[in-house]
Amino acid sequence: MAGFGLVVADPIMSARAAIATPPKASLKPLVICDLQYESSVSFGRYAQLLGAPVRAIRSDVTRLWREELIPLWRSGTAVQMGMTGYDALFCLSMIAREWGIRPVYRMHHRPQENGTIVHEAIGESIPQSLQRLQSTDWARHNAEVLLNRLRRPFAASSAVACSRAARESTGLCRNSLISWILAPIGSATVTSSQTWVGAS
Amino acid sequence: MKALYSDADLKNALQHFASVVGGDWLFSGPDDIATYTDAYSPFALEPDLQLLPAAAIAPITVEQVQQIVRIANRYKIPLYPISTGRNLGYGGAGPTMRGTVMLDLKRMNRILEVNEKEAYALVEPGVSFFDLYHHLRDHKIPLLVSTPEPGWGSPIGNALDHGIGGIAGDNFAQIHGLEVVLPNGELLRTGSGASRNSYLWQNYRYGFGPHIDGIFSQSNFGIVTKAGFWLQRAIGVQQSFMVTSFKSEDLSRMTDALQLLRSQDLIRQFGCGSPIRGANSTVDGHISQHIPEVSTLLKRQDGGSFEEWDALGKRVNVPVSIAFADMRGPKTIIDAALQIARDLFAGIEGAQFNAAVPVTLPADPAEINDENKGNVGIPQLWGFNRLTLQGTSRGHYYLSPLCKPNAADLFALNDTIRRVILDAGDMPMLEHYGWQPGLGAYPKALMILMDFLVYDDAKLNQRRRELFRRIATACAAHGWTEYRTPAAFQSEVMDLYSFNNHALRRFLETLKDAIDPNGILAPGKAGIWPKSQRSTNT
Repeated sequence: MAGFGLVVADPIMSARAAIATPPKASLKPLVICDLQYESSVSFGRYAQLLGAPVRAIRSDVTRLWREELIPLWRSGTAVQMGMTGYDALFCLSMIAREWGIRPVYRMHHRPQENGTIVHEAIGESIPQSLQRLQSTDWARHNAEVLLNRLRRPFAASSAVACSRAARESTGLCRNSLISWILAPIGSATVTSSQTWVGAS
Repeated sequence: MKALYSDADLKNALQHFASVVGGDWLFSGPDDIATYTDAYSPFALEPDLQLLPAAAIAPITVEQVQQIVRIANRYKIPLYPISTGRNLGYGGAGPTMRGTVMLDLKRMNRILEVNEKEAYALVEPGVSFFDLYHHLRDHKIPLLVSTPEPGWGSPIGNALDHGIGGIAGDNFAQIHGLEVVLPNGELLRTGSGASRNSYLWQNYRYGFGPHIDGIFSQSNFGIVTKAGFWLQRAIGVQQSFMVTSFKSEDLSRMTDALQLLRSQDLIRQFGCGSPIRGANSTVDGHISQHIPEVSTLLKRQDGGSFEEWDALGKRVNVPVSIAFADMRGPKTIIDAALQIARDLFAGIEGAQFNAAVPVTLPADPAEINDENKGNVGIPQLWGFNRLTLQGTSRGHYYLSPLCKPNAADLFALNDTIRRVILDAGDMPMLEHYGWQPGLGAYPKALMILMDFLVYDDAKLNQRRRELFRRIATACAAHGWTEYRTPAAFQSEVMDLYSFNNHALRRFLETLKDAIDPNGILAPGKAGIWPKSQRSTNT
C-alpha cells in the first residue's frame, strides 16, 4: 500500500484569497511563446532580450504546466504572459483558475487575406499600443507593450472585463494569435523600480 | 423553469454554506460564476439560453458535503456537483439548470490508497488522471491508469459519465465501490463497502443484494465522494496493428475478425472504418485531403456504390476499408496473439496487415508520440491543438451514437446521418462529417463521434442544434442510441429511450421523488427532473 492520505495537488485558490494576498515585491513574468508561429517566436526572442525568462511550446502546454508552472504557482510566482494560439491560452486559463489566476489582459491578432494583421483589444485597451502594432515588427513591439503593462496592478474588474469581452467578441480563426497576461487579481506584477530595457 | 427558491432563501443558504466551507470557498461574483459554465456551450452568443449557476461552493470533506446537502434541503436550493469540471464536449463545468449552486469537489483531491498487488486506487472526486499518473510514476508503482485524452479530468467524474479511457476503454467498468452522500445528507457505501469494516470494498463490488453503483452514474441520485478505481498492470508490451484493403466488402470480414479476437480477449480497444469515405472529414481536427470525388459521392442521394468507392480508393491510393486494434500483456503472449491476428486477417485476400513497433510498459513519455500517449496510459493536453485546427474558438459538442460491431450497421448508421444532413441541406456539415469510423471502446459495440462546432453565428448554432436533434432522433429510430450528451440535450436524449411509454424515465422519476423529494440534487441531469420541475422541463 502506498500514498495513504496523500494530497496530490494544492487546493484551488479563491479569487478573494488572491486579492487578500499581499503583492509580491518582485515577480518576473514567465513569457510563453509558441514555436508554430513566426510572430510568436519573434515576440519571445524580444522578451528574452529584455531580460524576461521565456519558454517555448508547440501548442501543447502539458510539460510546461506540470514541470514549471505548478512549482512557480506553488512558490507564489503567479504572472505569465504570452503570445500563443487560442489552444494554449484556453488550457492555461482553465488550469490557472485553480490557483486564483485569471486572464487579465487579452489582445487578438487576426491575419487577413491581404497579409496584414488586425489587432483587437479585448477588455482593457492600452493607449497607443494599437498604433505601435501597425509596424511590420509588431510582435517585437507587442513584447514591450505587455512587459510595460505589467508595471501596474490589475484590478478585479480587469479579469471580469477580460472574460466578458472574450465571450462577447468574435471568435478566432485558424492562425490567429492572442497576447495575454495571466495574473492573480489585484497583484502588482513588477516593482515600479524595475525597468525593462527598450520599454517605452 | 419554475423558480425553486426565493432570493432571501438563496441569501440565507449561501450564508450557511459559507459557515460550513469558509467564506473563501463560496463563489458568487460574476467572474467566478462564469467559470462554472460550459466552456464549449452550444449556446455561445445566446446569453438568454446560457445555463448560468447562482453561486459555487467548494467543500473539502465528506462531512462538509453532508452539511451542505442538509442546508440545501432546508432552503430548497438545487446543487450541481462537479469533480474537476473538465467534461468538455459533454457539458463542461456547467449545470443542467439555471440558478443552481455548483458543488465543486476539486478540493477533495486525495489519493487515499493505491494497492499495487491488487491493482486499484481509492480516490476522491477531485483527483485527476494526471494526479494519479504522477503518483504512480513518482512512487515507481508499475500500474497504468486508463486516462482519456485530455487527461486533466477526474477518474470518478469520467467514469460516472460513462467516459472512455485509453487503457481500459469503459472506465465505469473500473469503478469498484462507491461512497455516496445521498440527497438527504446520509452517507452510503455500495457493494462490499456496505459491510461494517469491509476491506473487500475495492475487490468485490457486488456485496449482497442489488448492485446499485449504476444508478449513481449519469444521474442525480447522490454525490460520489470516494470510489475504487481499478488500474491495469504495466507489464510487457502494448502492441497495435492495422489492416487495410481496397474493397468495401472486406469491412464486413474485418469487423467479424475483430469480434472474434475481442471475444477471446486477444485485443482490447479496436475500431474500423473507411479511410476513403472519411478522407475529407474535418471531425476532431482531422485534416481534409480535399478529394473532390469524395465530396461528390457523399452528396449524391445514394452515397455511391461499393464499386465506385473501391475504384476511387485505388485511383487516389487511399484504403477503402480499415481495421485496427491494440493488445497488451507479456511479450510472449502478445507475440502469439499477434500471430493469431495475422493468420486471421490473412484470409482476406489483398488485405495488408501492419503491426506497429511494440511499446514496452510502462512507457517513457519521451519516446511516445503525443497522439499515442493516451493509448499507453500517459495523460496529456495535446489534443487541444484541434481548437485552432477547427477554425473556431468556441469549442464543440459531441453526438455519439452506438451501433452493433459489424460493417452493415456501421454503413447504415453513417448513411442515416449523411441523409439527415443532406435533407437539411447543410453541405458544410456534410463536408465536415464525411464518414466516421466506428470505435470499439466497449467490447461489443461501435461508437461514432461527430463534433458539432460552435461558431460566432447564433443562427447557425441554432440550426446545428436542430440538426443534432434530428440526427439523434433518426439514429434512435434504428436503435442507435446516444451514450452521453451535453446538458443542452439530456432531456431530449432521455426522451428517445422511450420503450413502453418511457418506462425507464418514469422509473427514474419515481426513484428521484422518493430519495430527493425536494429535488435539490442536479435537477435535469440525464433528463431526470424532480416532480416540482417536471411539467416545465419534460
